[in-house]
Amino acid sequence: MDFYTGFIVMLYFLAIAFLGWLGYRRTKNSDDYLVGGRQMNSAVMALSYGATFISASAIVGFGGVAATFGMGIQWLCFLNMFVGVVVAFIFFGRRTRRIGAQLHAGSFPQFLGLYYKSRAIQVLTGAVVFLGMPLYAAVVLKGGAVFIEEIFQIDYHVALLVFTLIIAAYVVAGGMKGVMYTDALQAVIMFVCMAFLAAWLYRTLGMGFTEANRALTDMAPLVPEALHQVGHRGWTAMPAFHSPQWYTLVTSFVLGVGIGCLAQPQLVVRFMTVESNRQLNRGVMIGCIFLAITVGVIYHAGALSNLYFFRTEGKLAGEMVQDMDKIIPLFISHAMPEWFSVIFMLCILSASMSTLSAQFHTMGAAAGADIYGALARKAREGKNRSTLIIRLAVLVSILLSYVICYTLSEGIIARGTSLFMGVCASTFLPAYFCSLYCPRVDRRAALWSMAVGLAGSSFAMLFLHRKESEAIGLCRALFGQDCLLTTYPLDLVDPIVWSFPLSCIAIALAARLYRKAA
Amino acid sequence: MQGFSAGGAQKNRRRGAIFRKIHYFCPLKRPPARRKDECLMFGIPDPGIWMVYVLIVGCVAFSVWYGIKYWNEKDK
Repeated sequence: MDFYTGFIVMLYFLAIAFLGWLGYRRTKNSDDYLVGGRQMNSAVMALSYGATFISASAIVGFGGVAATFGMGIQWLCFLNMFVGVVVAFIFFGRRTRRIGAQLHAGSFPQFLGLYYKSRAIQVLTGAVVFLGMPLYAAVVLKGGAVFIEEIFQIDYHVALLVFTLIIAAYVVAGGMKGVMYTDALQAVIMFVCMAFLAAWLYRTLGMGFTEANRALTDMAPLVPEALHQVGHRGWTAMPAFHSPQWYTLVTSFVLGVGIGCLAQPQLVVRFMTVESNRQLNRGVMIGCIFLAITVGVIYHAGALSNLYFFRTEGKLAGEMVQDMDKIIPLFISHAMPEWFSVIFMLCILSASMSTLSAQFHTMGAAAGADIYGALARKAREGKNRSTLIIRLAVLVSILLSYVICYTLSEGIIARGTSLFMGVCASTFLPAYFCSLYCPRVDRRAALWSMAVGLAGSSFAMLFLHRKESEAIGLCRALFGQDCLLTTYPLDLVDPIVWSFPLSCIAIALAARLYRKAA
Repeated sequence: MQGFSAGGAQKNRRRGAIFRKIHYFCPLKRPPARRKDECLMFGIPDPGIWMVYVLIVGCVAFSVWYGIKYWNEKDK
């Protein structure tokens, strides 16, 4: 690492430290610590939402997926924008903010618990978050540490420890304000980096948008045989219908992430950090533009990296480097100016840190405010004491994620994101939706839906979906095979396709039965 | 992300064999080189791809319109 790189990184960490300190100074009570005092600025809220949404794996990992499989992944970008921002802010965010403020809810589990007047719902939601999210956080934490290890050429264990300590410092001290201030800075870095990448990419290729796409279309016959066998039809075409690649794209990305993002506790809580709907309305615009640039550009650049490598090296991106996760970093180092690598490194660090800080904060709030707060009412006696407990809980959740990085196998950790997203959507979404739009659904119906969703998604992941069941290994231990559904394409269908409808049916039936009984 | 490569080439071959046997609507042979008269939108032949770019632009346009229109909307 040269002097300038070191200088820029130091400057970045100083800015993060300052914003963390600012958050600490402005945090006076548990409301400040949990929801930023409900006074956050619209730009800060929207940028924080976007930065939390987009992790490093969304940039580097999915960028590599775009390089390998093509532009079909842009559906994910569209769904991130449409469902993740437009639908989430307008149809979920506005009501969540209003009801959350009326109930004085400081987190997603509290929101559900207070709305349904059920401590069981609050504790169950908090427990799912506290127990499920560390696995998701471990994915991001490990990815960030590996990235730091490669960039700074330091030992992985040191990188993991330093990375964890830096995030822990500003999350524990600054609470939601510290997290959101730093998120906003990190989002700006990501946005600027991707906007520059888009401009420089076309300059390097020496052609415009349409011309580059046409050249990439002409490369379709070069698709490697192995990829062609799983449905690849070129980088500017959707995968062949009914092929393995088509099922992964449609069920895991389109349905899994598209639906899953609506019930993410760390995202939902951001709706409760603003004072009025005005901030959410403004946030729609800011959030959408942010996602279009950050996500849209990297997916597009990923696909076009094939054109770049083919013209410069005579090889496809996947032939340049076998590991999909390394395609984007390689492309950046080849196609972009040298100084940009430092900015891109900050971009990846920012994406990792913003997602992680939100996860740590949400886990801490789940343990300290939702579970402990519901079970031990003494915690509510003093606001300062409550804040101290939440801070301790944040620390515990960070330690938990850190330990998971060392204890669980690589295969399970790699599936952490989809595991958590699937569980969240199936367990929370029907009950969350009904809390906003169906006032006649009572707590028993909500509890049934959550129980069925949790059980259904756990079962589908442990026994039906090959990717997870193979990694976890319980199905093989019990039944001697990797998954129970061996018929193509059922083993490729994402667990959310089974568990989410079950959860919806459960809440509808239970609501009807309990209404009749009453 | 890892799911794509999990199992490696052997699994892909196995799935490819199954894929070949079942009914589907797309031609199995490799995509031919593009014909000169082929209809392209933004240089992209597949409506499933160019449509998503149109939708992304539409989504940004809607969000800008919505954000400006309700910039100062008061809560009811």
